Amino acid sequence: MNRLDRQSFLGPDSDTLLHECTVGLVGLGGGGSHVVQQLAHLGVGGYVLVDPDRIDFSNTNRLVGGTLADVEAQALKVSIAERVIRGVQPEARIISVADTWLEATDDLKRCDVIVGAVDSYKERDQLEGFARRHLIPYVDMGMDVTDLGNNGFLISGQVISSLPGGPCLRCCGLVTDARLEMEAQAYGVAGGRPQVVWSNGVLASTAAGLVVQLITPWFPSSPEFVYLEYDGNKGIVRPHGQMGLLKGRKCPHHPAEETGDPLFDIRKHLARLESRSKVAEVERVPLWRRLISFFRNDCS
Amino acid sequence: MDANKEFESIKTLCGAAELHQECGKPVVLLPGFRFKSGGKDLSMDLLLHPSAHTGYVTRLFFREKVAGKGRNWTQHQVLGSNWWAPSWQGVKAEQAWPAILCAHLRGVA
Ligand SMILES: [Zn+2]
Repeated sequence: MNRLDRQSFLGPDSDTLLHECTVGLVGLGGGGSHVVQQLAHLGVGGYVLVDPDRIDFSNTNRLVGGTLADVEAQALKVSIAERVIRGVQPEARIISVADTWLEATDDLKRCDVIVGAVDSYKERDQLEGFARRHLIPYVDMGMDVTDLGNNGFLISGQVISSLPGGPCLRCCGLVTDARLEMEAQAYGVAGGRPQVVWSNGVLASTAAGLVVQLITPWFPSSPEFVYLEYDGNKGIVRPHGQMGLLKGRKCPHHPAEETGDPLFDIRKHLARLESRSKVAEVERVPLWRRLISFFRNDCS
Repeated sequence: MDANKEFESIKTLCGAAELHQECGKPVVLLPGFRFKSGGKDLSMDLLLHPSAHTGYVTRLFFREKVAGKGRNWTQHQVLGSNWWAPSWQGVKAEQAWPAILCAHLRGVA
């Protein structure tokens, strides 16, 4: 019996397609940790996990897979995600980068899809730009809580599937220069934004569905560009009004000629490969040999 | 603003300058640009973004952080590679590109 039998409606090759796929996940907090868990259950075989942070006590209201023992050990969020994946798929291909995504670009470039669960407009704008430049589909998710005064609070959010050539987060009106400016002016004063586990779960499930739709669509007319909005007070996810309006439109923000690496320099690339292979050579020498050589050098 | 005309005036400062495009907006690469910082001569690849970027009306990106100068350095991905920029607000886009470049360099002078 195959572990994935009950999702065989995803297509006769779906197990292989999911296994061979590599998904980049940027941000492994309340949103990203849910997505990782679902992709692991689904059978996605490859992961590039990126988050610089360690779990703290205040994350335990929402970080899927995080435990009090992890808080005690100040575990990295990428390590928690890796453990969650290996619990279902011990042989998964995982690259964990406990740093900003800007330090993981070589690995993210090789992903088939990137999922962004990041806090700021600046990050999602640049991450989407990076994905576009390297022709990688990008799925963005975000959640917000708005204070309505006497009317309480409104939980809302959105999930967008942004594909090369199609409408982007700017086309959707989600990223605007005005929002970026407001964020830049509030530099350094950004506090912890409200987050709850069930809303993150709805948005993450929606994002996981969009990832699968890209890899192994299960119905013939699955849309490429998707912009779904979440109203957490009414408990509904529906297509945003912009989704129909933008359908089939070309994005003016990421022109086709802006792809690849315009500053690529073969000399710098070769020098970097050479320095990497030197590091690898050092690592291939057994530890006991390195210790002997160290003491010999030290005593001579 | 005529990007080609502005670029020509930048080329008088840096002959090796290259005009690129990011998100449909012009960006100028200044390879090995020489400038003064804290009384010292520095040479570094710079990237001039003479229009709005990440909430700033114009920006200048540096290949490396300039030690001891500028505040709140943040890393950015532009033209497919990583760059650093200090928080240096208010350099207006409605001026010649060489003037924008000089105004940003004052932030690390
Ligand atoms: Zn667009």
